[in-house]
Amino acid sequence: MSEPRWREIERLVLRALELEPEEIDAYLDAECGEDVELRERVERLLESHRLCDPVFLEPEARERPARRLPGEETTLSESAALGKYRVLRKLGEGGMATVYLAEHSELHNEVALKVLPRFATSSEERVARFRREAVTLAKLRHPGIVSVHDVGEDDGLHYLVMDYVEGPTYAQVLLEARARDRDEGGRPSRSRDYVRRQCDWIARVAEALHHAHETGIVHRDVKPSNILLLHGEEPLLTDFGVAKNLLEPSNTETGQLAGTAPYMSPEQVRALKNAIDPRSDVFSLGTLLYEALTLRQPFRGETLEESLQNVLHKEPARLDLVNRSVPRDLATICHKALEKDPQHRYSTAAHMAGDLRSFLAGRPILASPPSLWRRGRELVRRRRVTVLASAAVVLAAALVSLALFTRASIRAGQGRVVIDAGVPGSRILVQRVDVETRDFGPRERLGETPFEGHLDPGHYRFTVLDGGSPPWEASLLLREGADEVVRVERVPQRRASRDMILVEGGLTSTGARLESFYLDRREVSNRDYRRFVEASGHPEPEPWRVLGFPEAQAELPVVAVSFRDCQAYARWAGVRLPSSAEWQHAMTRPDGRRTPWGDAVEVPWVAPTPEESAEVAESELEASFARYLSSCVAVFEDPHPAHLGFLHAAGNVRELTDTTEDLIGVVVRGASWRLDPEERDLHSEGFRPILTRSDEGELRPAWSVELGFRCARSARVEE
Amino acid sequence: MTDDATIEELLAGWRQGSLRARDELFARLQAQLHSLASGLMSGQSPAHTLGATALVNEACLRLCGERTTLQDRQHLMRLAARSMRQVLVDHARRKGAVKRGAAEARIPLEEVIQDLEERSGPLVDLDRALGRLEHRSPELVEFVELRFFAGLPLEEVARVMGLSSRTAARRWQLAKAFLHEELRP
Repeated sequence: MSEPRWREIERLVLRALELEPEEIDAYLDAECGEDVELRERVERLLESHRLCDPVFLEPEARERPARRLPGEETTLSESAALGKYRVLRKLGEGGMATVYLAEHSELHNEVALKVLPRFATSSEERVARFRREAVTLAKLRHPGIVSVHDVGEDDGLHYLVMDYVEGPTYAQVLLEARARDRDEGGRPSRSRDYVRRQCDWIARVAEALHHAHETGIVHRDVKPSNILLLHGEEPLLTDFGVAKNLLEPSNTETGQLAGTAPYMSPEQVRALKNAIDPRSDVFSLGTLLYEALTLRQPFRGETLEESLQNVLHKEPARLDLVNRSVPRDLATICHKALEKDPQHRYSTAAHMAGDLRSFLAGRPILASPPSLWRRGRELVRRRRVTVLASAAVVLAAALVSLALFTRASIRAGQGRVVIDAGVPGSRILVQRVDVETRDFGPRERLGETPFEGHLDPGHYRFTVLDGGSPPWEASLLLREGADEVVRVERVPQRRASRDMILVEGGLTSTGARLESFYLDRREVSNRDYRRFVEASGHPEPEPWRVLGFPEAQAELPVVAVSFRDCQAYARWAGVRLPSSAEWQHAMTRPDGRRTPWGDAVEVPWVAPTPEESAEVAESELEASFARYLSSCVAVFEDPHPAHLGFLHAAGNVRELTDTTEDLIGVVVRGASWRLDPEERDLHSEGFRPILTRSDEGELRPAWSVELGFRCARSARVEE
Repeated sequence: MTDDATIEELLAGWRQGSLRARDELFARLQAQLHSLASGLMSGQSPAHTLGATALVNEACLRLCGERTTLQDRQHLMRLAARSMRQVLVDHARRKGAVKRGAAEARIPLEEVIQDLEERSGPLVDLDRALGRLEHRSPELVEFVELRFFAGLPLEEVARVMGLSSRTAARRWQLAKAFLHEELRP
């Protein structure tokens, strides 16, 4: 009765459960390959997961559902009849409803039936919303919007009758583009044709939306899966399920979150009831354009919370840097739609459509590049706002240049950097993180010590060359609006006291070129970190502050330090964190295998069974810190060092690196005491947010009791 | 919540053969189980309260009868949850038998079982499906026992099983998906 491959099945299902529905196929393609049997088993379990009744086995489910045994199908079978329609097959399933292909019993024309599931009909609110969608949509007649013809109820099942649109959703098209980029060389999604086709489609969606807006309707859920492509060519907007009728204020659900996280506008995230207007859909059009042209969502986070944070605070990386085949004007259009403040966006979807059409026709566009990435000289060159006769356009242009004026004077986004490396007159080089490769770019000259200046937000690495000694390095993440004074110190005795191992540079397993560098043999310990806190006055880690310094466990790896803390420690010690590529290179044998675990997923583990001390804890913090204390071992003790001698690459704590993503996330490597066996896959990078939200809703640096770090420095600098 | 340090001592005492330690331990276990059971049935009718008490008594008797070596509190929780499963499934089985045979006074557990079955289908079937899951992953079975039969919140289950809450959530989805499929007609 046992299933010999269960462990493998379990691993795949657990991973797939973390993915977006549209990513699962590609994932299973990669994992299962030709193994049809394995794939079917995994898909059956995933299907079963989707079909699970929300109350199935849930002890908290208070509300007693209509008696429905597990397995009772909510799906309508083929040839089931709904009113005058006969169901042919299921087309798709959304959060709110299921869509079937059906035909009229007498006219025999094909239609799409959108059916509210039976269990949802017990909620009056959902039925009302469903009928509202019908009324809303019936008003809209536009070639870019799926028409609704009728609405009905049969045996308690509520349904809408809509045009049947034959073709994939935009989401499927993007998924295919991703797969093509992966399978075929040369990235077809970077071709001029591809880029222009996306612009045309999105211009048409924008025009359809404008029609809805003029009727007083805001869609509020514009995203790839709500756009159908008739015959793969003509985009049609559908699913007005959460649309808001601006003319009927009683319809709005106060403060309720509606929409889909990574595509929502900031005002939607804030659930600002009165702030939702057509410009909110313009924002979603911007995310759509960005995703179509880069094949990644600009605000996508690991969790819902993170996605929402990103919508509110993250400036997406410049479109024309992420995809270099995107012309500058097109990037400008997209970033204008993505402005956080609705006032800085296109005031109507028609304006955005107009700019997209201008771009396609090679005419000048109306929008100007936003301030974040504007350089002074470009400002002069790009000041070509075309004034057209239409009064509305002139007004819009006036608004644009007004916005430009106020933003141009802002230099507050820049942070102050002070570099004082001891020997005056030493040359300073600077590297910025390349958004696309995530690695530090070439070294450029910044100035001489002592240096004081202002820099745009970003992730920087500074190198100070002072003649005789090896170069001094410091890494710094400069946040927008931060007024920070950062010292790059020259501290030979601190640096010399580190136990570091030289790693020869060269080509990495991924083909990147690395310079030679030194890496700490072991993780930074509590004792090491306390020395820094005492010398510099830097704040203690939270658990020390609350529970006291773990005197008896001073040799354990320090944890509960944020990315910022690690960088501060490293600067104080005259070193920096290793990049993710360096970390991997250091732990990879010359033959390409990883050490100390070889290429096996099973890792020799150095983690004793957690003791019971955690259970007497009074707080969550105390409990998790106690588990860390009983689960980690001293940084010096590791019977399975990596081939070059590094300790605990695979145990104790995961380690923060100097590789960041879009200034909001940081890559972590290795494995920790807290990971499950199947998660100890050390070939992969982990990803952690740099900031997180406290219980009180404040943004604070993120840390974890399973995260520590070790330090690195470049061996020499090739100029 | 009981004093854990003392529970540790009692466990040690029992391991060395002290009956007094065992009795004391089960008195405490009863309190613990009771809070588990009433968490499961909070906001329910007086019949449910009665049901909770009956469930706890039976689960305790069953645990006392076993000469198991208890290792620690987590172990105790797992065993308690398993006992609750056994008690409930046994009753559900008997209830089916009773229906076919002579009428009998409503047992207090009936309400509890009915309540659970609304979320699981017949407990007897669930028990059989859990048997099939046991061959694949005993950990997932323990998970279901703690979560469904003992009614622990997900975070608490995560703590007992020593998992991160994210991992626990995905495990729970997997266990439900497996059982849901097994229970499909």
